[in-house]
Amino acid sequence: MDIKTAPFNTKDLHDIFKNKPHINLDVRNSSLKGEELISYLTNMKVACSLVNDPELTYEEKEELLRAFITYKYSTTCDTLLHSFASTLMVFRDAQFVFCDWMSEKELKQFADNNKELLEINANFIDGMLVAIPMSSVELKPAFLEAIKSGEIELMEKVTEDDKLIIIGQNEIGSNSLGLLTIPDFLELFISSNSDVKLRYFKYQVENLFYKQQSLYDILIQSTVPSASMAFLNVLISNEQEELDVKEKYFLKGA
Amino acid sequence: MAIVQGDTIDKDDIISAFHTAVKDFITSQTLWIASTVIGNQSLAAITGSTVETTAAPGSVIASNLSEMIGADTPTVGHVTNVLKSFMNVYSKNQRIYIYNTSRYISSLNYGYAPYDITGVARLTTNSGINAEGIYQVVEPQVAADFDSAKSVRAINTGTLITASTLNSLIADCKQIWINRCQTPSVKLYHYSYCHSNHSNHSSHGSRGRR
Repeated sequence: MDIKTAPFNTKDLHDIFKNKPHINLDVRNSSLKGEELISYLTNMKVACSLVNDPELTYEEKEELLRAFITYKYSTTCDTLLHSFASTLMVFRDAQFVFCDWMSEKELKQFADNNKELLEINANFIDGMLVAIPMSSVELKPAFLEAIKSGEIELMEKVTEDDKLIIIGQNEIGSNSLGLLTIPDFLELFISSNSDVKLRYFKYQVENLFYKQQSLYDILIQSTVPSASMAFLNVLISNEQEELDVKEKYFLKGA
Repeated sequence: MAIVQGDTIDKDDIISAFHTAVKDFITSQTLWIASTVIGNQSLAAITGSTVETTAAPGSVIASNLSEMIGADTPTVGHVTNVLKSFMNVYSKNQRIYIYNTSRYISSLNYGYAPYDITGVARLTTNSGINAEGIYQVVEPQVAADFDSAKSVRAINTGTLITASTLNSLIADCKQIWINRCQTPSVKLYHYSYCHSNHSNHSSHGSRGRR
């Protein structure tokens, strides 16, 4: 198993640019840390996993995961993405862990230390209960009306001096959208909350991109398309369309 | 530790093979489950304690949103409740994971990079679409079937296995899934909704934990 450190040496760089391999990264022995490392990996457009290293300190993991969560651009690191999903599940006391790069104790510690950050990201995922139906031409008018009436909270405000304040702008990044590429994460996560408050994260839903994919691209076109998206579409479609939708959503990537 | 010779087998290939079975199952049955359960109940009752159905598998009694909610014009509340209910049902689906046991053998474990399977896969299940008790019954059956399939294929830790043998084992696993998880789920289908207080899942025991 070939393990690399960041920044990459000339030989590794050549290999990365030429072959675009999925690399395994040794964080402890990398000189880049935290946001610098996330920024470097993102700019290099390299797909990586992190070595499970028992000697990597919790503090280093927290710094790196926090940078990953708040970073504005998408970083292709499955270990961090799954750790992000795991800490959100732990935050919700949902007892479902996607990755063991961080122990359950460390995930809990992260959740305790970063409550506000996780709360807004949890609300963003819950917001898919609004965002998914909003993709339907048939359902959208009722949802827009509900936003207007306040039944659905719009997650942006205009101040008295006409300044637009976007809630979650600094906390929700591209990698938050990336959570939806994890099979079944959306359903597992929302099911863990019995009292989902309806919110529409307009800016993030309409402007965020993960690996050049919009929210709806991810829900429809990713390798494992969203079952909830398909379910709702089946329900508002006729029989023939239902078959098409099933084929399109369920059978693709199987 | 076994080594796969010949073709490179990616972990994702195995997961993909399982997804075929899972997605087939979802296509044919989850719609039935969700629509039957939801269709049998008023929306107000969905968050109640226990819902059972006696409808035959495949008999979708509510095939669209209007039928499901009993109104022509769905409100935001209707739509989000139905969607949330579907998520509740869906998330209880049986899930099967393949672990590469070599991860636990190695002194330095690796992340989730696609790498060649270097150990004998171990099949585990968690979270049942059926009640907790059925899962407890199914799990050892699956484990026994898997051990039997391994034996038939002469796969043992420490012996060399070919890619084609491992592929055969994957096919065996799919059949085990169908025999032990999918078919009984349909026959014995009985679904208890979670208690309404989801902030404490301690009563679910180890369900969902890997």
